Amino acid sequence: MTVSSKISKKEIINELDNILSKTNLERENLLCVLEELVRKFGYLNDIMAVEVGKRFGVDPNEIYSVASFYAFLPVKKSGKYKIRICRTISCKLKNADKIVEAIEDEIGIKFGGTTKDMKFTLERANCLGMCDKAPAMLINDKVYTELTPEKAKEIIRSYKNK
Amino acid sequence: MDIYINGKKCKAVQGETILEIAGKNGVRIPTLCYHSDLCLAGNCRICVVDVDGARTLQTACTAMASNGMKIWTNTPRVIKARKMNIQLLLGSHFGECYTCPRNNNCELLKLAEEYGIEELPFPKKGKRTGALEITPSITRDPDKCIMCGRCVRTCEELQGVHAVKPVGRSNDIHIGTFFNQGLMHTSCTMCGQCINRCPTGALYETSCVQPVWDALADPDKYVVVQTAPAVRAALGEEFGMEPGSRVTGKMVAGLRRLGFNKVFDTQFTADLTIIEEGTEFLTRLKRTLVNKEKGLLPMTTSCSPGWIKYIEHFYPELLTHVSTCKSPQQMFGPLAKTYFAEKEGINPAKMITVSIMPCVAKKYEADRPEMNASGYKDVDYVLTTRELAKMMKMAGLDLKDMPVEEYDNPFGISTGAAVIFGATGGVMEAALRTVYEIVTGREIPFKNLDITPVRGMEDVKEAGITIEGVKEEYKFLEGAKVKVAVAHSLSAAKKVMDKVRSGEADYHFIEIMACPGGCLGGGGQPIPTSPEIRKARARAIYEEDEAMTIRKSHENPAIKKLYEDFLEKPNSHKAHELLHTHYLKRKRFDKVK
Amino acid sequence: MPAAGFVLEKRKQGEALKKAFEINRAEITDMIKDSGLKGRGGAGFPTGLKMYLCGAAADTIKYVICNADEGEPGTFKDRVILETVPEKVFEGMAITAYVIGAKEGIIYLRGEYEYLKAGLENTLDGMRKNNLLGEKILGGNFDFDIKIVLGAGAYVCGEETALIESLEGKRGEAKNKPPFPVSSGLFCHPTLVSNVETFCNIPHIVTEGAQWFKNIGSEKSAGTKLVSVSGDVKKPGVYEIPFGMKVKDLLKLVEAGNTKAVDIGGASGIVIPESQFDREISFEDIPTGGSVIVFDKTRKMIDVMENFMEFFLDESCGQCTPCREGTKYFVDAVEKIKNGRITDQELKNLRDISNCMKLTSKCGLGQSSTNAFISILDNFKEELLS
Repeated sequence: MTVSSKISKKEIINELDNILSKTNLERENLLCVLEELVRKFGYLNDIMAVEVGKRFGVDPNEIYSVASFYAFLPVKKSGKYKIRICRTISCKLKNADKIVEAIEDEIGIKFGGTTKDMKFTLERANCLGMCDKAPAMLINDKVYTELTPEKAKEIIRSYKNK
Repeated sequence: MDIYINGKKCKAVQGETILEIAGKNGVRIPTLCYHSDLCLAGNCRICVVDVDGARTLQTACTAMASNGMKIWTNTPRVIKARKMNIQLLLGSHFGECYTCPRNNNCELLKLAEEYGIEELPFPKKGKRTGALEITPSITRDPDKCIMCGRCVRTCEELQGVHAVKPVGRSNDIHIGTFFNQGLMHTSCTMCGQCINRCPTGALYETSCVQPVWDALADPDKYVVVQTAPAVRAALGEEFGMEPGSRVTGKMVAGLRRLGFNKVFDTQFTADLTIIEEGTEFLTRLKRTLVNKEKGLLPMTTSCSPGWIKYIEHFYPELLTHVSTCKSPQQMFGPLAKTYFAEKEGINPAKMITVSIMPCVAKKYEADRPEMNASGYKDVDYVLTTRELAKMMKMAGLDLKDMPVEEYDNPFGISTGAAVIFGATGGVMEAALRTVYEIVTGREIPFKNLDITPVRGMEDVKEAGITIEGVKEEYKFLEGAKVKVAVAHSLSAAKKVMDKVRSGEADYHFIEIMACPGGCLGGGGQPIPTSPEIRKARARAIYEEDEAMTIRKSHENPAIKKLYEDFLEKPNSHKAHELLHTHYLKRKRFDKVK
Repeated sequence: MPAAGFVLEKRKQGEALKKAFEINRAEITDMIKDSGLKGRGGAGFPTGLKMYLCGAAADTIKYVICNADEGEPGTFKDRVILETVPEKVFEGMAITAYVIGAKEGIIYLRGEYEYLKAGLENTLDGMRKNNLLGEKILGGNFDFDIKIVLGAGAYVCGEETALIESLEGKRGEAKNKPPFPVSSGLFCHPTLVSNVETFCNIPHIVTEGAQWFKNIGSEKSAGTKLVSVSGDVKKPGVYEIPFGMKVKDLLKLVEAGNTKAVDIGGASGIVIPESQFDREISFEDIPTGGSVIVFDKTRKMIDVMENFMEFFLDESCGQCTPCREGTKYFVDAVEKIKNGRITDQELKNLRDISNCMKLTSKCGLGQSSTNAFISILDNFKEELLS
């Protein structure tokens, strides 16, 4: 994954060609393609919406509108690693707030923020379905459970060097 | 099948909604997100009714009738729920009613009154931000938006433009533009159809009322006004008259009383447009048929600025097909500031030209940088039909009480061909009346000159006329079948232009108007709009045509004189300088690099 | 109460499918109808009726969709099913497809469960190899395959019409019903959408019979229910209980102690106090999609209220008035209750808003989003308003 503040149109087109070599252009595959782009670039921008729109024959503004609906399709700059800490009550009962504090402390940003190096974005997530192993968090598509502040910090550190 | 509304048996057909059946049976169900021009949304939850057997209330606008269905439209829980939903909407609707351009014509306020809203369950959450988005044509006031989605559906379905969309979700949901880049940087055509369908004051025209008052008050300024054809068929609605009331003479009287130095008619330049555009069409025909040149046909009309901006964004590669003729509004401006100014000895620098238009895109058009053929801004201010009504009301003038007066000369003389510019198909009809006669020397063979195949509200109309017995100089047209198409609304334009792009279309001439019904359904016309209202306005337009003594543009004596005195001949060098223009290839999103 | 336990048990793959092929389609529909199986996602629509309606719809293209958008706070039983016995879910989908005449199946997997995708793909591949999916399944004339589509983080997509919108690449906004998906669903074709757990039950009913199934559970709630238990208990996890089990018995099973309140049904469910622990988990009494969150006496109910209302503030899709606008007032009300500043009139107004949301919201989300607030208010009034 490459995350930088500037993503060139060429990079986007290359990646899109790559994604579309495995997917057909039915509207039902639109979300999957957007998900792939987020996986690659960390978020969706206007160029991507225009390019995806062209291929699918869907208005780019419709693509923007659709993406903006979904929590996992960010339409604003977002970090390479999205740390999503479960905010739901079961995790809260198991001190999820302490995990938040620990991570905020570790990467120096608050909820909703992105680190300057575009590496981490810290978000709250609704129930991750890990309530029996609370507290839990996702980093991109990896799930971490039964967290303690120390464990959480350690996990974050392991990503710092990735 | 039979259904029961409030205990009364009603006939229903499969596929009919409760709302439709109730309407036919005189049962009023309040609506808000529903609009007769748009697809169903069922978002506002105002039209809810009780249906026997259903756990929750059903939305009358979306629920289809089924045999034996028992519907109750005004049970206590229905009324209570509607009232609550109105209150909830009011709770996040920010802005004072007395400063709102929709004061007295707000659907939300009307509902609040109807349901006796005295207070809200809780104080309003948040307050007015005042963050307006202002373009030359349209102003968006998101504080007043109640998320009914009518603007989105208008822009998407009716116009195929997709300039505004729902963005985000839940608490953050709002109507927004592409990556928040703003209407001016996306492909908004400025047609203003969203304004006509907004139930509140979240969308309205960017007003020019004040600068026009200032100009009228300035003794140094000579202020002339032009009025578009469609205005006279709708202005009455602003004064409580029935849709379809013809108010031409009363409007002229009103304008005179507002203090305009001259009251002119855009219809004069509509006739001029026919001469210029008709001549251009014949030239294009010749170049295509004789010289075998490409890219000239079909020729499309260019009167509708919403259409112009649409093709600039969506079909830039087809711009060579667009007639180079300016719209009647923009032909009027430079003629007023040159020909008329010279004739009357008025310093054009001190002349202010105002136009009264059924349109908000005309405001954008007047602001286009190339529209200064006179050496000055050709048209200084554009007022919508609604804004004119507002000015008259401010001046204490009730249209109903006005006497009937005549336009001033020389730009007050026009023909029936010009008045029908206001309805879809009208420009085509006017052009055919003239072109056929130029080519053959005979009147077009339609009873009473009514070219009915291009009239009516079908979204795309087609017609063909075989030309026979031509004059010597038009030999190349002998026996040719001229095929024409007429489209109104931009989604209809898309249907036609896709065919042009693919080469499938064999039309020679296409009339396109951005708004449904043509200018009479323009974004500057009285609110509300509906298919019925537009039909009534169209009727008025065609009655006006019938009533005119001259029905063909080329017979307009003032136009003949204009050519003799000033322009020499159609498509002359001078005519090109003043009356023709060029277009811009635009991107869909100019901020996307 | 006998320990029921079959949903999470492995069984011989393809056995039920094979049996299904031997019975005619109408008989399977009747069997599922007779079994009393109801949707396990929470709404409890009779599955057999759904099958019948979708089967009766005239169309050459039909879809079977497995709703794996498990997003209800406190629910994780679908995750466990998909980790443990995904092949049974797929087999259930295949049987359903066979009955209604569908060739395509989709599992809509919530984005949060992306890490399950690879394993599920493996299972699907294995089933294809064993001719349990793909063309001419088990040598017969029935073609059916399943693809996995990932959601993108929107709770409302668990609502079936929103899920379908999402599958069509649109905003996950619920549609007006009718038409129901069984007659016009994905791309306007008849579509049967059911929960992971529901599909998982189908192979068992087909092989063991309707009567066997009906014998488990309570009168109007046949079978078992997987519940996801979390919160203040010694043994959190997924439990399979027969319908009709009392809350207090469940609490014993999971070794909850010093319990003050139990949330049943997650954020859209209800929160009950000790005095109601005699109530049963069943469609007759307390229905649930599977979430059980236990709170001990050290917990403040206002925190629960706040958490749930903030959840809906995030997750309402925002298209319809009552849900979008109503939710905001409940979030505010929590703050007021916290500060001891709420008035009786305000509480009455909140109930009016809640009723309006229940009656007029477009989908189940808005219709149930104040359940927790109102039940906490009713059941813990003294604690909240003292």
